[in-house]
Amino acid sequence: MSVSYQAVGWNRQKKIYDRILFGFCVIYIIVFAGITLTVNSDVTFETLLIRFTSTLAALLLTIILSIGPLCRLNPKFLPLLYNRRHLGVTMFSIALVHGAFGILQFHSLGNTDPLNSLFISNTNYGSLADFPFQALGFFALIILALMAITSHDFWLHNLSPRIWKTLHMFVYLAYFLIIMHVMLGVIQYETNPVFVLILMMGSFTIITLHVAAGTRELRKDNIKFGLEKQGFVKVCDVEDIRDDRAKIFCPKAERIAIFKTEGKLFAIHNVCKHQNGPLGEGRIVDGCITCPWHGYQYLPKNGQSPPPFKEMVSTYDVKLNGTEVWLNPTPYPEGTERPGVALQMTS
Amino acid sequence: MIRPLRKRHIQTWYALAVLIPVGIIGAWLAVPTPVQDHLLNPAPSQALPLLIKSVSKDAYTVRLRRMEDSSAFQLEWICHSALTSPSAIIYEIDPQKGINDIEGAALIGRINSRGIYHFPLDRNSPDVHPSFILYDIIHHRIIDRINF
Repeated sequence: MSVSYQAVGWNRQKKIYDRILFGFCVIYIIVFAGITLTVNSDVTFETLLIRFTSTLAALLLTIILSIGPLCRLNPKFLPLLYNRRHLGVTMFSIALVHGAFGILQFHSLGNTDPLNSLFISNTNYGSLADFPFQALGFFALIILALMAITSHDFWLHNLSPRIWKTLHMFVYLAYFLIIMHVMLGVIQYETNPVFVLILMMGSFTIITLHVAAGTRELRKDNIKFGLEKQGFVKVCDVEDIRDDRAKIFCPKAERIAIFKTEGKLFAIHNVCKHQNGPLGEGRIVDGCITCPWHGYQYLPKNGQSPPPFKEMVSTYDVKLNGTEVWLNPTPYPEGTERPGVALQMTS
Repeated sequence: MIRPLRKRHIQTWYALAVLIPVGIIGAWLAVPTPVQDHLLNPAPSQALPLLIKSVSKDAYTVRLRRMEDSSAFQLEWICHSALTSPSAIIYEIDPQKGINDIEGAALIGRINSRGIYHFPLDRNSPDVHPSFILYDIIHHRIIDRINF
């Protein structure tokens, strides 16, 4: 780590993203507090704080969980993905305030240790109506804390994208715990169906988006490529690939992106080394394949990031038969230079 | 994203697509009847004119009040300082009928913080010796008993 190391590589986009996020949170708090105080002027500060932090964190989590599938379904949402981690850490910070004040308000004034009190004050695990819902929120908060702590690229590099991604998939468990924390908690008292409807709409949206995007991706993975000659499979027509863009194919275990740029076709591994982003959904910027998620770049001819960066992905052989594009799905070692195939040969 | 993770993602969401609706509906059906949201309804803020009885404790003073023509009765709870149990519920008990805790007791209202609370009492004639308990709903314990 050099003396010029920065914990967060701020740039203009991130600053704009964070300003919008901060502004949204402030406006939400003002509106929530205004409505609550109008409807119930006797509400205490602690109760108000617990309520606006809980609803704001739940809303942010719903947005966070929607971003991934939205980007899979429509690339126009990609700017939201770019700085999603700041959104996640913000959401965790707000949820932490909710959890801390909840414990403070309901468990800190007794003669039992607050954390101990959280678990022993109610042990009715057999009852839905009287379930110790606070424990569910606590475990969700622990998961969110682990995710927030490991959200930095330092942990991404040290844990490897695969483990990091697996760890961060626990957010789905956290989401389920939070749903049940709300349903078995405040909903048992605030029985206004509007709260349940809002909750159901949020979860229905997230489930629909994830199932739709996931099913679409699964379908792409399962496309069969029948014609095979000397290890090559026919994947598409050359006109199917736009200039400085790619098409993605999954003839074997993992996806491969075939890029068309500077009158040639190049094939590289579709998975970005940074966060496993889909390189084939990116485009050529300054002669480099640019990941649509966070802008990591690779040279089309060898799959190497331009110096001083050291990320590398596998390359593949591609050839033309008339206007038909043929791909050999056997990978070369990461960073191996391949000549590509010149489009002039088709004429 | 790599293929095994994509597969795990969709499997997870297939499972959640079942678990979340089941959880929401199950919890909704489990809401007790009569519902406990009466606790959150704001109590009438005006004290009734006649004071019947009063009991004073360190942290609070509890009074029974009524209208002049006995058409309405009220419990006035004046919290001088914050309670050590923030989520305290008042129940009216009837020791003569063997009701000494919240089982079978009548729910009166909730005490949140320092302040003056007024709760309507559902009765036709003044009971000269009503008894109340202050109950910690989080820790499931009786905080105090108030006998008039």
